[in-house]
Amino acid sequence: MNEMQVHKLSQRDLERLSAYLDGELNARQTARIEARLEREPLLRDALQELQQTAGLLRSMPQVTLPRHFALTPEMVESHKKRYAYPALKLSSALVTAVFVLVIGIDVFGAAKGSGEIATNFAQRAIADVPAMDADVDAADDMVAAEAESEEGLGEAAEPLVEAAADAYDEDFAMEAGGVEHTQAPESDIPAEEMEEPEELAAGEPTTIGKTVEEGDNEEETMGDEGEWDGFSGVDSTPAITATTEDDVGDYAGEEQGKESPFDQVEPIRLLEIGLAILCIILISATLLVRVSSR
Amino acid sequence: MDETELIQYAQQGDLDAFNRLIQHYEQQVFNLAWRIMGDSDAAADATQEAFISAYRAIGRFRGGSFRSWMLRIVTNACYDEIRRRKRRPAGSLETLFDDLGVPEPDNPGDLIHKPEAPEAAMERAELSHAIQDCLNRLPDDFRVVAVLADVQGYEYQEVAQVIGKPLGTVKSRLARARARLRECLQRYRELLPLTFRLEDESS
Repeated sequence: MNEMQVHKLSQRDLERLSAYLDGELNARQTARIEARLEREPLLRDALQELQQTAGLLRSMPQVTLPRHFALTPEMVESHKKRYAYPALKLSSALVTAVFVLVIGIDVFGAAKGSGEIATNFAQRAIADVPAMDADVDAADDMVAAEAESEEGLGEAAEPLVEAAADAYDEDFAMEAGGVEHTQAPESDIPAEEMEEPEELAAGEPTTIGKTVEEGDNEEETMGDEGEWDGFSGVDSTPAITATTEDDVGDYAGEEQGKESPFDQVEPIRLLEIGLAILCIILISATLLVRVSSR
Repeated sequence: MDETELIQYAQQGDLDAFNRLIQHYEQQVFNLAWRIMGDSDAAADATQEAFISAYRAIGRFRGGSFRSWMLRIVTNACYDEIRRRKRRPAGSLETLFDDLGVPEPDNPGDLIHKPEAPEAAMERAELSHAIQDCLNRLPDDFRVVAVLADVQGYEYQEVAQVIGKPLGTVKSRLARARARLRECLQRYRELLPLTFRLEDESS
């Protein structure tokens, strides 16, 4: 019969028996297993099987050394190179993957979304400049007002609140409260000269429009008031707020753009260029290490 | 110079001192690697790799048993080699030896043995081959514990240090490894010692 006794034991008994064989049980466990060994033939047979198996393993001869393993300085150095290669290879792969991902996002995402919108805004802004018909003085006033506004928004806000209170009924003024803090004090430009382009009246922002709005917010507000007849104040106000914030950002961008043409490059382009350079460096280093380690 | 001094010199970058440590441990390290890998070339690679790794890491050795530390490194090197081979299987060694017509991987010339009759030497080698074949069939974790505890004869505590597991894990793995080995060895009953067969037949 070939059925083995060790397989009839529970896992717990098998472990106890194996540990007993090696003298690894404590005194209490040893006494308990010895008492059971006297009573249970199955346990005795299993112990014998384990003893024979362990004995066979212990009888295995030592193998002769095929050579000595003493290290040389070259072996230690070449080992460093061997580990540099996989590390560089992994880094190259990761950076290339990120590069491809960024390109993908740029091509399939930005071109269809924000890229087109930004282009439209820029085109509209350029078209709106002559329509605004703002003379040089008005522009100077605007710059002055803007500077004032930048110096102390808190101070600028007060007259605006008052202006808003004069212009609007109380409910609307409260709803439009988020706008005032971004507005600058009134200027001398009459409202008639500040004809609002259709796009702006519909709540769409312009880029250059802000250069006038900053110094001319009351007129704009008044103008808006006249054109809000067809809209509810709640719907229009957020659009104006967005216009103002966007315009400030655009204006700042324009000012910086005049300083350096590189600043006009989209950040994603800079990222792509940086990643491309990194890819080239890493791949070159990987190839160099690979060639030198051969 | 004793072992502690050699370790200190090696920690300061003295390669000669480290090579003297290698000289002292290479037999044990290679034997362990051989029994875990079941192949002389793979064992030599793992051994060399382990000594290089040990030299580079000896600065982090903080005392205790240098042998356990060294055995742990070679055990990890063997695991790495096993993983590499699983990723890039190049055909089993058994198949390879069969294809080459080689009767066994640990041919008698590889073994340290006392002078004995050719027949006895051959039987001994065949038995050794049979046991190694059964070891190779064990799961990696079981095989490592069986080799450390039974083939190499280390105490449970040292085995636990080498594999970095609790004592209970060592006991459990060793017991199950022995049970599986016992089962596997039934395939080679004709090679087993008479007492082994008699006990088995009588049960």
